Parts: sequence; C-alpha cells; structure tokens
Amino acid sequence: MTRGGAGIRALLVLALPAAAGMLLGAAPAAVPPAGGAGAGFRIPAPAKTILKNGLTVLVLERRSIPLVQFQLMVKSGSTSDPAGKEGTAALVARLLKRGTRTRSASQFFEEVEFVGGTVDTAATVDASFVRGEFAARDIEVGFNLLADLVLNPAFRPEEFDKERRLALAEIVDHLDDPQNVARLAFASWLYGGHPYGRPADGTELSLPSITRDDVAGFYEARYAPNNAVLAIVGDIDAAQAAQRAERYFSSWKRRTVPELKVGEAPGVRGRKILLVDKTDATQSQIRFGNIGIRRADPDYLALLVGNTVLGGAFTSWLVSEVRVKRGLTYSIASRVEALRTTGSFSISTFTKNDTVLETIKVSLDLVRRLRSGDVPEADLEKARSYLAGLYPLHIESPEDLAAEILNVDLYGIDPDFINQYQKRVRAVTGDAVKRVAARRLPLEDLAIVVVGPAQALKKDLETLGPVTVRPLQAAVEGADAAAAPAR
Amino acid sequence: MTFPMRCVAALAGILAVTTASSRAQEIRFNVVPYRLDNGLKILTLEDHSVPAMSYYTVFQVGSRNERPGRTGISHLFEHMMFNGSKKYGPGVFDRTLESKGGASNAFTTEDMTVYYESFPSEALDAVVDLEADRMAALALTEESLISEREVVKEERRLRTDNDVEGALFELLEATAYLAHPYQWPVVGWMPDLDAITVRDCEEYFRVHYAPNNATIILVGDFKPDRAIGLIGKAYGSIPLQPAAPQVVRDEPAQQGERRAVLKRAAQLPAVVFAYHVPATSSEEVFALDLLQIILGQGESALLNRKLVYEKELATRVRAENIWRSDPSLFVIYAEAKPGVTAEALEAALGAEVEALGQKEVIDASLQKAKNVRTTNQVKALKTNSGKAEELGLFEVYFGGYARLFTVLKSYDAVTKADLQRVAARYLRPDNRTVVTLLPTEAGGEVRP
Repeated sequence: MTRGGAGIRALLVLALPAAAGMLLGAAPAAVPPAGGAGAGFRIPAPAKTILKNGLTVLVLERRSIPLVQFQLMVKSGSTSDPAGKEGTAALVARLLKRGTRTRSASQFFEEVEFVGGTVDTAATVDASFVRGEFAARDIEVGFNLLADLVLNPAFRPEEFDKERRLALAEIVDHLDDPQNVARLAFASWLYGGHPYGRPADGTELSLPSITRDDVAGFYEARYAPNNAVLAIVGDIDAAQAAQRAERYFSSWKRRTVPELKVGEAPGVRGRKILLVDKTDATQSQIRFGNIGIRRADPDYLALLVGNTVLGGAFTSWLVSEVRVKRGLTYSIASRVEALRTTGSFSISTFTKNDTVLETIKVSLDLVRRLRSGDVPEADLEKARSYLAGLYPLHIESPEDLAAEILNVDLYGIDPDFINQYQKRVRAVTGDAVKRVAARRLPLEDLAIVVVGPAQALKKDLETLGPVTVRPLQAAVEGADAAAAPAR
Repeated sequence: MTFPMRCVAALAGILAVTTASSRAQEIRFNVVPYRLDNGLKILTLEDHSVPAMSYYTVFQVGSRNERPGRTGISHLFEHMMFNGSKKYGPGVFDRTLESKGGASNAFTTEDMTVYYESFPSEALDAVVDLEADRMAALALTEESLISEREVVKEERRLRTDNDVEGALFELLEATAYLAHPYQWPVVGWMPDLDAITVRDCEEYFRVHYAPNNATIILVGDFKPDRAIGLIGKAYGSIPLQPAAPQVVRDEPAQQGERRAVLKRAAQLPAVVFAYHVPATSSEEVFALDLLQIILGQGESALLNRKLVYEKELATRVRAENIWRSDPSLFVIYAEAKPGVTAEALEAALGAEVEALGQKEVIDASLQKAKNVRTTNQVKALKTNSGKAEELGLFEVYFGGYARLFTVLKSYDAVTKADLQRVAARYLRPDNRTVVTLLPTEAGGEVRP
C-alpha cells in the first residue's frame, strides 16, 4: 500500500519542503462558524477532571470519525536524565512497551493490534508521552491496555538488556542520516552543558552505563499521576471518558516528584563553528542560530510572525532568495523552537558542498534585513493571514488537537490560547515584529554547524569565524553537554 | 456545461459500523461526480465541520510515462507548475494563497502527479482561478527551468545520493525491472535532469496536462453547485487533447533470482527483497496487503517479533505491497544489528517470508490483519485532505473512487487459503530481486 508516512521508501517527491508547505488537512467537528474562517473558529474547552490521585484528565469530543486518541503526558523528559546517563527517560519510555506484570510484550501488542489499535511511547526534552489510538467501539480495550502499560510495567531484566541493545543499534544506524547528525550536533553545540543540549536518546557512551535499576528508579520517581495529564480526544462521550479514566487510573499512586530546576541557557557569544566531517557527502547539512525564548514568553507570537516572514512559509524571504531565485537548495526554513524553560531560533538548510558559504551568507543578509526592521507591511499581513488561516488545520486531526491541549498545559500558557490564536496573531503589529526581531534574531552571535567533507569546506567556513572539526561519531555524542551538572 | 455523472445516494460523511459478526466497518461518503465537456472530472464531498477545504488536482501521469534520457521530467515539471502562468507571474500562486491563509504543495509518483491546496473556504474562488490558469496556460521559461533544475538536483542529493536507503531502493528498482519504466527513479537520473529542455517541458505539458487526464477533488466546507459553476467557467474552455500514448505495461516474467550489491559508506549492512506482484487493480492485492500487515506492520508483526526481538538480527524491518497502476513489487527491507552479516540476515529473512507459502497462518493472524487494515483505512480519512487524497488514489489505482466504499468487504473476504496461495505464488526465491548493502569505510574498503 502506498501510503505517505507508512511507505517503505520515499515514493512521493514533494515540490516543496515539508517545513514550508505542509500538508494540512481540515479539522472535524469544530463548531461550525457563522462566517469565514477567521471569525468563527472555536474549539470547546476540554472537559477537565482531576482524580483524587492528582491525575488531570482532559476530554474533547470529536464525533465525526469513529476513533479515540489517548495521550498521556508525564511532565518529566530527558532534562531529568542524570548526567552521564543520557537516554534514561527515552529508555524508560521504550521499556514501557516491553511487558507489564501480567502481559509479556508480545501478548500486550497482540491484544493492541488484534483490534487494529496502536500504542507508542516517547520521551522529549520536557516530557514523556504514551499515545494510543483505538476504534471507538474498542475504547474499553484501549483503557485497559494503556492503564496496564502505564501502571504496571515489569522492566524484566532480559527485556531491559534487549531493548538497550536495540537502542544502541539505532544510534549507530542514525549516524547514516546527515539531517539527524546535524540536529544532534547543533543542539549540543548551541546549548553546551545545558540539559537541552543532551541527546534525548542517549549516546553510544551513555547507554551502556544505564542499568535496569536506573530505569525502574526513574519510573518510580517521575511517572506519578500528580505529574501527568491524560488527554482523550475523539468519538467518546466526555462524561463516560472521565468515568473510565477514574476506573482505570485511580489505583495509580500519588507520590512526591523530585523538583527539577532547569536554568536559563547562556547561548553562544561570537561565531562558533562546528564542522562535522562526513568525507563522502556530496551535499552539506547546515544549521545555525542561537538561544531564543521559552514558549510562555509574551514575545512568542510576534517572533512567530517575524519567523514566517523570514523563513516559515514558501513565499518567505529565505525560500524566495535561496531556493527560488538562486536554486541553492531544495529546502530552507527558519524555526522558533520555544520549549518549557528556554528555546532556540535557528535556520536549517542543505546545499551542494561548493555553495555552503554562499548559502549561509545570503541567509544572514536576510536576517540582517529583518533585524533592521525593513519589512514591507504586505509581507507582515501575508504572514499573519497565513498563520491564522492555517491554524484550524494544524489542529484538525484528533492527535494534533490532543497534542495542542497538552502543550497548553506543559508550557503553562493561557488555557484559551487555542481559541485566541487567530485573533492574537492578527493583532501582532509591525512594531512588535521589528522590536522582537532586533532583539531575538541572532546575527553576530551564532552557533553554526555544517555536516560535510571537512577538507573541502574548512577554508570557506573560516571566513565566518573559528572552526572546530570533529568526526561524525564524536559530534553526536554530546561532548559539549558532558559537563552538564547533575540534578 | 456541467452535469452530474452519477450520484452516490448515501449517508453523508459517515463511517457506519455494521453490526454483523465480522468487525468490518463500512465507509460511505456522499461524493458527487461531475464531468465537463472537455473531459475534466470533478468529485465533490461536502463536510462543514471546519470552515476550510481541500482542493486536489490529480493528473494521471508520472515517471511511468517517461522515456530513457528524460527521466525525472514528471517531477521536475511538477516543480515548474509553481513558476508562473499566463495571468499570474512567477511566485503569484503561492503569494496569493498564503495571503488568504492557505498553503499548497504537490507530489509525484510513478503513476500520478497531485497538486493540493488547503485553505479557508472563502479563498475558493481564487484557488479555482489560479489552478485553472496554470492548467490552461503555464509559462515555461528557460530562466525558471535552469533554476528549478538545480533545486531538483539538491532534492536528489538529499533523498538518494546522500541517503543510504534511498540509494538502495533506487538500485532495487533498476535491478527488478528490465522493460517497464518503473526501473528508473521518480526523481530521475542526474544526467537526464541536466538534459531536459524547455521544449521537452512544453511537449510534456501539452500531452499530459490535458483536462481529460485530470480529476479535481473538493472536500470540505463549500457549496457544490457554486463550486461546479466556478470550475465550469474557469476550466471549460481548456481544450480536450488526444489521449497520451499508452505505456508498455508488462514486464517479462522473471525466471530466477536477480541480485545486486551496493557498497558505500554506511554503519550497518542491510538487505532488501522485491518480489514481482500484479498491478493494484488485481483481485490479489487484498491478500497481498494482508500479508504485508502480517509480516511487517506493528510491534507484533511476524518479522518484527522474530528478527528484531527473538533472534536480534535486525534493528528494523519493514514490508510493503506497493500500490501501482502496472505490475508492482512486494518489498521487504531489513537492517542488520551491529555484528550481524548481510548473509545471516538474508537467510533468516528469506526463511520467514517463504514459510508463508508452506502452511496456513492461524485464524487470529488473519483476523488481526483485517482489523489493522480497517483502522488504517479509517485513519486515512480523518481530515479533509485525507479524504481527498484517498478518493484520488482510488481513482488512479482502481479506476473509480467508489471502490473506496467496498474495499473493506474485499479484505474481509480473504481466507487463510488465499493468503497461502498468494504467498506461494509470489513470495518465492525465483521471483525475487535481492539487493544487499555492504558498508564500506569512507575510503572504500568493505568493513570487516
């Protein structure tokens, strides 16, 4: 079956990079508006219940497709990994899928998949997630299995050993993906010793040092109902969903979760260039940027509008100048990554080795222009319309809507954010964009990472600043994060 | 000048759950088809749940319609469709759409080229105008071809030349097909990209971008009568063209295993099998799709369980019965664990796959595969764009969107004996192409 994401290979060749021209669908069951998209789009507030053990349950009915999406968020992620044991949170998430006290991993997934359901787990920097999707008629099966996975993981030693071996193999495998190498190397190069710079999946050095007791200990300490939120979105009655959540999750024991203090990241001063040596590459991956803002920062939407003008859409300056006019790349995008404690502003692209320096220089000229405030009102208006118009489609599917509801909780933003988004984006003034751009867009202070053949690139890059060359493997081992203080 | 072709009288936008003993679900949408005098087909599906809609234009042309020396023209041409037309200059298409709060993209496969927009409903008039203008009168200039060619070459470098798996699959197709155009990559060979001229593009546009080779699909919050009126007015004068030349569809029967080896800088060995199977319109597609699920979809799938977890030979395993207009491939890919050789992985993979033709699977495996296939289909229909895309795929692969409404019954009818028969017939060594990836150090020596 040729199905986009599920396909075995890249059957589909897109004209435009995903970052610029995303395929966005439309959302089932928003309350029908009176007028156009801008005016009437409204999502009802999720029904909120807090169980006695502290678990927050948020339910939103979406009745047009007979599916139910479960997303359980535990508000501890890789920033809670002990230094030197990077990858602990990720390994906990993986082990949850490898058997409960009463079900082996294979029994568990036979039951999930027999009804055509899916269950997956993951750890990000700020949180860990358990996600499941079931047909509406299998809702009872879904609750039963998900609660078993979350409440009763077995952490059997043989499964632990096996899963850790697999995690290590995947880290080796991912070295073949230049985009992945660039992503990991950039996080580490930018954040230095800050916990956001640590590789969430761990490294070839850190994984062997993690024990079964570390994993069980992380779970015992942090997977607590009072540190978690369960979002349920789909074809289910809100009251019944809350009752079932109570029935299946009330035996989860409340406990005191160790407080985690993640500090501000210092960011990079001056230009600091990391050249990751991939000798066989005919194309180089490029990332550059600096520390930005946390998600709850009041400048967030103004920065988002500025980012859309610069490199957040297909008609943005970066795409127009670097891709369309000069044919230097297939994809270029700027990105605001705004997380719980801090975030980054960065530009990502790739080009043939000969044109790496030209690509960086053209891009920086555009950053300079936006910083100077030279932004036509038409560009601002287009960016506002683009963000506002596409927002309903961003949260169209039950999984995207559930994720957005959890974001609101995780980042501590206004609960009515979803319904205020369009109005607030449209209200962002040109002055606000100019002010935020001048303050937040990095130009002279930059972390730059290039993954490509060092011999061919080093001289060119030295015209931008001092260059450090590292072999592939060392670059993704989080060498710069190794000094992170333990928490 | 429009008239409804046929109306599917049914429940509007409903996925009904049947109460029969089987778990089969029924898919039924109120799709209304139309056709203009120039042959342009239009499918409409109203759904007012969000104030937005999706607009798909599906051309039945892809890399299978190309010729050696000009491979990749379908995809390069897809890029050229965003570079200006008679009424709207370069960049206007995307600027107009984005300023109305919409976005657009496109994709090309072996069998089709698809353009799509998602946007707030009030932008419909503008979208119809923009799309009709580029179908009627695309502007093809030397300047934009030169620049776009470089963009596509960067795309090829990204997805194939600097991607181990991309390179492996390119070699697989080139080895598995001798006669059929599926032997070359959708993105095209690098020297061919350099050879494509503006004249080639003009000819390609005239032959393949005719209204009678296109289907427009609208899903979402709009009024069909009004939309059809707009489309009739905007597209009605685009002249019908003679049908494009037929593609040679058949591949000579394979008589014995074919092999190829890829040596390049990589971390881990990998093995990929491709078995020749019939075109997707064949009745056997249903059993093959279920075999794909049994082998490779989900944590409890056979290959995942055996090779990744029990024997620990592979880091990841995937299977896909590729949907194609002409005879296709059933592909299985496995990547070795560190320390495992390509030979050991290949032997274990072959043994698991070919055992399927030797004895029946258990009832629970068959039922699980059917249930997974059903929810996969429901999940594909979650959004307006998902619905539009599925309707388009069924038009291309099954010759009509309405097959979407009966397809789950066809899966439900598959028996254990069907699975065994199809596995024995297709998933056998003499019908396969094997490509192995032998990692080298960056210098070129095969790793020990």
